[in-house]
Amino acid sequence: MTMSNSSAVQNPVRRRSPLAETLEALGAKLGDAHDWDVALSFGSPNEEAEAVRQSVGLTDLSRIPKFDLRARNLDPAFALDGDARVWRQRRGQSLVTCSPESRASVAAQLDHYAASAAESSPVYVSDVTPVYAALLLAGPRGAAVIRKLADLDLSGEALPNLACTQTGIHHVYALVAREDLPSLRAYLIFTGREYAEWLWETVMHAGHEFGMQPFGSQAHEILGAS
Amino acid sequence: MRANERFSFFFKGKLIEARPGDSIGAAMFRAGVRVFTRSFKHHRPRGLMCVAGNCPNCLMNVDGVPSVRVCTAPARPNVRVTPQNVFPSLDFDVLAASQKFDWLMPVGWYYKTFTSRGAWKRVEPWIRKAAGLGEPPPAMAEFAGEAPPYEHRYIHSDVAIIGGGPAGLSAALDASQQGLRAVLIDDQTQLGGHLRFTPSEAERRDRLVEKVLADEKIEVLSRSHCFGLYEDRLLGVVQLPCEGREIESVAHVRAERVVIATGVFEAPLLFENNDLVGVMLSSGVERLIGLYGIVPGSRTVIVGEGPRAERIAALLRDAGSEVAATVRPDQVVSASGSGRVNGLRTADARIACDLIVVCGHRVPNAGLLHQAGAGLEWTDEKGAFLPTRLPPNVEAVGDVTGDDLSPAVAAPPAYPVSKRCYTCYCEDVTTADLSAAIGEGFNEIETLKRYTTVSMGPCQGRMCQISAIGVCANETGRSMGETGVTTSRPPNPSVSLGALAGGAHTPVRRSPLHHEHEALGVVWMNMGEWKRPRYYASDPSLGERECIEREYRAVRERAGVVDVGPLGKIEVTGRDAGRLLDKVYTHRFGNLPIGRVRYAVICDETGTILDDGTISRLADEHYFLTTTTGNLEFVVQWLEWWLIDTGWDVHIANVTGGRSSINVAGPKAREVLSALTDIDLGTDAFKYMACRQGEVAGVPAILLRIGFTGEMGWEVHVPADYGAHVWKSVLEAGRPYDIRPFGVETQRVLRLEKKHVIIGVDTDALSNPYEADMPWVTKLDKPDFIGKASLETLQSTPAGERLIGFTMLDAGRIPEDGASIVRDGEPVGRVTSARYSFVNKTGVGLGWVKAELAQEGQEIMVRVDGEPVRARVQHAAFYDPAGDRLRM
Ligand code: FES
Repeated sequence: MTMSNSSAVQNPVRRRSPLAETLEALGAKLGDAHDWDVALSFGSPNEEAEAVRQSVGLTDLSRIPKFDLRARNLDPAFALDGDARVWRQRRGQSLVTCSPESRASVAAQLDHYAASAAESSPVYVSDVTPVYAALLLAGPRGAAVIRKLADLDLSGEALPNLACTQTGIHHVYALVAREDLPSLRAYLIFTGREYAEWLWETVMHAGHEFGMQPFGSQAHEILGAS
Repeated sequence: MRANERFSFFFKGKLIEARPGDSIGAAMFRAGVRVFTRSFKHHRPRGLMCVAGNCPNCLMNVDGVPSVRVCTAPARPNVRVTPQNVFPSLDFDVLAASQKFDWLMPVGWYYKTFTSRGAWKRVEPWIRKAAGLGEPPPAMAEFAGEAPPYEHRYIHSDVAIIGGGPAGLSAALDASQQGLRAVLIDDQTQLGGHLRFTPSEAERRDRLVEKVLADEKIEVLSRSHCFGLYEDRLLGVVQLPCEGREIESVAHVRAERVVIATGVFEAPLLFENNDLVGVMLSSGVERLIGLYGIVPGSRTVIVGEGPRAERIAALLRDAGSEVAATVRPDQVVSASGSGRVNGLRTADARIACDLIVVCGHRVPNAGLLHQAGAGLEWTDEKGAFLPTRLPPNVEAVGDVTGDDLSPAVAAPPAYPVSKRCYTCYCEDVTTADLSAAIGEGFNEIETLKRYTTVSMGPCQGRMCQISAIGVCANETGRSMGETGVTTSRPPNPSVSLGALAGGAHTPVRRSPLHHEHEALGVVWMNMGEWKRPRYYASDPSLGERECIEREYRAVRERAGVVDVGPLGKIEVTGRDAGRLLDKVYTHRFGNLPIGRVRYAVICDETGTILDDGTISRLADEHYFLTTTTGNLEFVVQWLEWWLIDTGWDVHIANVTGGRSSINVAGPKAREVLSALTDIDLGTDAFKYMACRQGEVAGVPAILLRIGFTGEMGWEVHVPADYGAHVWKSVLEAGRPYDIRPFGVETQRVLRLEKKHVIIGVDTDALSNPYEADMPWVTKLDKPDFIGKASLETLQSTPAGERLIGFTMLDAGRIPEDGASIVRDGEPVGRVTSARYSFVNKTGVGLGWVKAELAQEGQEIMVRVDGEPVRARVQHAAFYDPAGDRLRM
């Protein structure tokens, strides 16, 4: 089983994150990145990056490609080339994410994997990019923010880098995946797209006591490179 | 403000000076305030007693928050402190006169007196006002857009230690040394427990506290009360505001191991007038002197004996108070004074004093252990109930174990049976009350508690339980152990409802078109967690009905577009997809031609309708399902449930949030959409109940030609990220036809005119397809499916009730949803939906009636504003009954 063709179509119409209006209202400068409207910055990318390093910041990553991979007998060592991450939600179900640049290559690898699966153990792949919103919570106080939202053990032993866990944030499903930036703790929070704005507000409110600020894709790049 | 600078706050409008580190109560006491509260029932003046947050004597309103224990609440600049439950003031309370009439109010008097409902209704507000605990804080709504000052947080730890005294501090350091993460929960603002006010222990305290605070593996929660120890070592902890933390929060603490180091608290002794202002517990006096440098009296009598009494006497003398006498508890007759202490009477003397210090019972603070399942057993030589049989991974350390205890008085104690000998300070329950209640037969400690309310007030038994057990034991001739303790239950101590509720966290689901609707002047309605457009107030000069009529006319006469994003959307793929749908739905889908849509109903095993929607076959092994908004999660689970263990090749994907969905409807819908797509939308090329995939406005789309509104129309589903683009494109393309967005309210009128049923609104938990007037949805000739056996029986069973359509015969009267349908004044049915039909120019609706009233043309009576109004049963749709407009 392969992805439905409707979701694979590329065209010049720009895709809009569920948080585009929220970010605009916060003063974000929007720009184009891989056919998405993306919040580039909220003024000064360097200051945004520094605020994250000092405490905690939040950015919208809803644009990252996401694939739902269902394979009953997925090999524990299953991995994909490039920057793809396989977040194992439960037995038989994983969320695959990658950078927008790797989208086509990761989609092709997944299609190939599905097509070569044995009939008795089928593999299903769906592009769920529009189904989930994704927030990136980065900075040393990130865990303290999540502790105000979800009943999770965020210790290094319970949730090491590149591990994920499922939870409810006020009873709304969320997948929390730890993907650290260079020398900086960071968590990806995935939830249903329709909850995106509510979740953004909820996380920002929880981060208020730590002085949490939004940051844009340019600050994200700075943090990723540092 | 500098660290050692003095500051002020307001008490009854007057400034009170505070020193850094003061509690509100300490600063007030230093400023000369002695009466802090009036008692619950008798309105007797009460003053500081425990200075530890254990009794009810200092409950005040602080900045609008009622029942704050000011003896432990840190003083902050400019807070406003006011007394509560006083009429009119702390110093003069007219309701104190109630003491003179207490013979009219024996224990349980209101149970016996106000036995009729009417009587209780009349007096209850007065009793509530006279015997209250302050006014409630502002409701959430009054936070006026601001986030309420409450929140929750979650903490996972290897070890949780409750109690910040020496035992708790040591336990935390031990855990850390073993490499474990520890969370230390302490109810005071400063760690150290009793070491804080024991000068000889200052160095030890500083050393321990310094080590704990420097340890990264130990997280300290100060001014935090653990109010419950639940299953699997989940602790409920309320963190009260203090320096650096404005917000009251509840922490959910999960730990592998729980260490209880809660120590002991001191409880008063029984003698007449033991509640007078100026009667204090010895530990309260130690705190006032040790923590705040306040000497609470100039001439003191100590009630107690042994080393503790001697230690207190020395402390008071050193602090400058004259110790007039130390009296053994069994020698005390009463405290004397009017409102405030001016002496203590023994059998043979009256000793003048302004302070009586009681060396009370030292009671292990074992409530959490009891909650966790530990036993509490009486031990004569300790004079206390001690914890035993601790559950796994729950430990007790320090004074709570009772190792260092000795009895304050012989047990059971001697006491006067008097209306002025207070057992329970919270609820004004006296030894006379307890004795009377036991005489009436409430001679078990649990029934005695419920009847007299002893130990049910804010202190939750801390001050009174031991005395009440003593009285019960004495009066019944049983031992303390035989009398036993009452059950410990959370929350103890009390927690504000706001803190338990946490912040405003109701999740909100927004369609991808949310902001488009806002730009069009939407009026929202909440449907579950979804925000949905009720209608668009596009013209401020128009009222709701006119706006809805405008939207309605656009759909019936030209074109309209509605956001149906919240509809559940599921993709079912795989070789056996059709097989699963045939099993779960009542209709046939394995034979549904590619490119066709079919109405779909799910029933349970009893034949009850669970959900409906449409199923479209997009490809041989690819179905696209829609469900009702509220039942989406259920339908996904239901499909997955019936797939388990089949071994079938089926994949179920909930794609609801990932799709933006709109319905373009009206006689001009074809023209509008044709401007945006190359798909042939012609009558024959794209028939009613057909589906296609293609592009709309340059983005990939699924189009279903269906007709919920009763007009030609297409449901258009696109990836959510393109939703706003497609919505704007449709409005633009529809501009020549004066297209209008329409909301849920207009959609309800449109569908009602077509007699389209909404599952869950027009059906309930008992409705089956035959009674709901839709027998055509069941295909009993197909192989087994869920509910088939029951539906076969139901098909041949005469219906008890039937779903009917009706038109109102009085055009101006529209019943409410849920209104009764009556015959001879007796209810014979109910309206499920009713609206004004613009095309029929009268009200139309759906409702359930007894089957014999469901005949076409039958006249029925529907209640409108309490009056029966005539209506007529109609089975055909109220609009375009042949469905010609759908097929144009
Ligand atoms: S004096 Fe404040 S609670 Fe006892």
